[in-house]
Amino acid sequence: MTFARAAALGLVGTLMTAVTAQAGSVKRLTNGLRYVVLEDHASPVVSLQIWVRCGGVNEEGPTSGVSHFLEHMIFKGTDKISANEISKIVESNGGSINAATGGETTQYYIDIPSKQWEKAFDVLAESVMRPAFPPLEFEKERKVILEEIKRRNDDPRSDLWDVFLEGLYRRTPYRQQVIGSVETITAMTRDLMVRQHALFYVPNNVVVVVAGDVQRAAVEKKIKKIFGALPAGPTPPQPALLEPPVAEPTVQQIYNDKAQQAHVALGFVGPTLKDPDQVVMDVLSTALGGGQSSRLYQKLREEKRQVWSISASFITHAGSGAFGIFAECPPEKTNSLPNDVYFLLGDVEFNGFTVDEVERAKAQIRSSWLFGQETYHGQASQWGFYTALGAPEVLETYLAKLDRVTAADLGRALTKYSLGRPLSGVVVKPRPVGGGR
Amino acid sequence: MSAPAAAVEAPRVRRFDNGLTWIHRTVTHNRIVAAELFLPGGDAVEPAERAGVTRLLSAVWVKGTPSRNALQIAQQMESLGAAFGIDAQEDFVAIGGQVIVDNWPQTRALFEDIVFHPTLPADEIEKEREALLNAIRTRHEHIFNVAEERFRRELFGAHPYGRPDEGTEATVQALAREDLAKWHAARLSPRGAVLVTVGPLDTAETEKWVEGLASRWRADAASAPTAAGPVTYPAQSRAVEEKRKFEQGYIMLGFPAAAVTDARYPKIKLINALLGAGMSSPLFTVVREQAGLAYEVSSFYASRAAGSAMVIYAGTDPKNVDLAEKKIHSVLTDFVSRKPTEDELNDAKNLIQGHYLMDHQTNSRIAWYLGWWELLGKGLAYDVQYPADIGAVTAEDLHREAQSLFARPSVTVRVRNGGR
Repeated sequence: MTFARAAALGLVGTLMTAVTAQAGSVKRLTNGLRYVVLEDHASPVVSLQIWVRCGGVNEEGPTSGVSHFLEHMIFKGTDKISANEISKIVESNGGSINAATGGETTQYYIDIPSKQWEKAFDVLAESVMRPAFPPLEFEKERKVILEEIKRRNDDPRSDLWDVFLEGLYRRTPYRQQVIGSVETITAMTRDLMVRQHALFYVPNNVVVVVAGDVQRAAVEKKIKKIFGALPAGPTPPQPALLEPPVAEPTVQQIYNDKAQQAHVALGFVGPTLKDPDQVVMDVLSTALGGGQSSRLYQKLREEKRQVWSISASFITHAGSGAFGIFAECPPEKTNSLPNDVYFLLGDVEFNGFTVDEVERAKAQIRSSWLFGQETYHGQASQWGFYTALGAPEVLETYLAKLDRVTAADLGRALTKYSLGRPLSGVVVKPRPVGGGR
Repeated sequence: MSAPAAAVEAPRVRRFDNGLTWIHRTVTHNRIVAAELFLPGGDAVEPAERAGVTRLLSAVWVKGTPSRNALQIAQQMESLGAAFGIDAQEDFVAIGGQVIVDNWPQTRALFEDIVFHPTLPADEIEKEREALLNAIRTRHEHIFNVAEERFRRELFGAHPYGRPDEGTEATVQALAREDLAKWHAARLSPRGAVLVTVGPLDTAETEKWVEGLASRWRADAASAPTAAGPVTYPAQSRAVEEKRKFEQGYIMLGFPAAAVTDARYPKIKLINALLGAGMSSPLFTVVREQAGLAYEVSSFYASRAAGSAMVIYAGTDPKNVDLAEKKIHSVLTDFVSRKPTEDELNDAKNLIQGHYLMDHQTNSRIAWYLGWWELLGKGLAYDVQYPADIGAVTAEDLHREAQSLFARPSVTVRVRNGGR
């Protein structure tokens, strides 16, 4: 899930947000729980979401993978409701229930026809805040997660993503795998999980978002009734999340038995979510690799025919973000690719982008933002993500900031974050016949 | 539960003399225009020796017109913030996407130029051929694709549904520019084509544009195939094995099932929902929740025009492939041994109807459903009728259909560790 999740969040970073048209605002209960209600009646459906600021960065050593394991156990029952009842109540009323764990957050959601929102909200809140972690279910789910790890290991892009992050993040826990390892999951105890829940699943670390065909007053009443009585906990600890630039960037070469082509990731550490340069990095990544007219696509795919596909994105974190360039190409073309990308970035730094290139990138981002608003799930996800990371104001200011980005900003940001150095990265490729480590 | 389209304004429909159908629905709660042009006949009407021609054509189609080269097309589309593309499927080709309404007039002019006047430049064909060959080679990086490709080959045999959608390395290597040009001419016929527009548009003004487009779009006298022939399924059950270097093992098994146009379609959709959709389904409960054998276990029933399959699959430890298969069979045995209760049936109906409702939130999905049902011959009104047909299935109907479905000769693919 890590790769897809991070990629999705990168996209959210560019889609941005400002559900200003939705007139959303964050409210807070006395116990610290934050909530957002986005009332809209265009479609008779609703998205109910609970976001917890807890993910891979909140683990170390033997707890690696505990947040994701915990997420799996959330729908395994409470003292009031069994695992089977949880999914049955949602699905028999036409809804979907699921969850996703990322580096910094865990998202739980139910999307359902709006007539059933109250029943579904009760189930979601009860499951997330009062899980029983039945020991028998814990052992069964351990096996399921070990299968999930195998499934993930079968995808060459998992190697790519893991080694890419390890190369970029030498100090901060963004380098860790959200899913954990066979060793940590095999050794995981229920007690560790209970402690993680007690520490992080406190009202002052939780965000509730309801978007769709509901009455705001009724939802607020429900939130206050269910969550208002919960006691606040100590503020959960968060690790240091500022990563210095990579001192000596290297490009690692990895062989993978499943790979049929070369997968390449190159990048550098970027600004934080609250940094004014975040929006600049979104425009930079789009101008460089956001479409078929982008620099990387034109130069390396169309002109040099060096890659089959290439793209760039900026992955937003509360701490230091990641600027990444991702390509697929024949294995024999990987030797020169890092240098070619480096020289292309150098050209951009020296000669800059044209006004047309920048305006085109901004138009793509603006449209994506609007397209992302079409579903209630999309709206709730954006509010949940930014509010959980303590930056809901991003939703209000992003488009205005986007309008002000210039070609000079892109050049300045590229120099500031890449430092003119070669990029850090990884090449995952098929093992050559008869050799390779 | 009401059908999604019931609460909104009825769509405007025009059927032109050249065979084109235009469907328009006005949506005013957002500023997005979705447009989709459906052309009948996709991968499944390709001659075997030119398998992959639809996929290659789809990639090259947008790479040049007499007045714009590939870069200019990309620059203009991206400047408009438009997200348009070509989606080649087995039974049709869909060309379309979405754009903010302010940029719709420029986008539709660009759209028309691209669709009707592609120049299919030779150098672009070579670039896209390389990319398609790579896609063919890398399909097998994923265990699901390995299982599914073999499953289709065994179940559908020589029928085009039995081939990989992208063709093979040999057929794609052999495609000439002339093949693409002929295929474009064959596919781009107004006969049976469906154009759908959805968004905050002036209906009369949009209709005037479509009238102009229809008047310029002549039906060719020659008729190209637009539908694949019927599928001949295996007469006996068969089980095959693939050995690959994956950490996981995989089991995929399936049974011949009716085409989307068949009256049994809603019943089989319900069987799929009852059996494997969601976390409360027996497949998920028995194979994952109780036995802990798999992370991924599910079922699907693809909507195909000439015949389909009810498919069940699970990823598991290689040493548990046989055990997972046994568990799946135990679920099937139990499933056909009894009629579903009214509660179970209603739950499955609610699941399908609810998901269908939720899948109508965006203009592009509304456009998709209207055009898709029309193209398949069910008619755009089936967008409303489908949930009603689901609602009308009885427990007896469903039980009879399940007994018949799961008694047919099956295909089983087991992917084990080893080999390539």
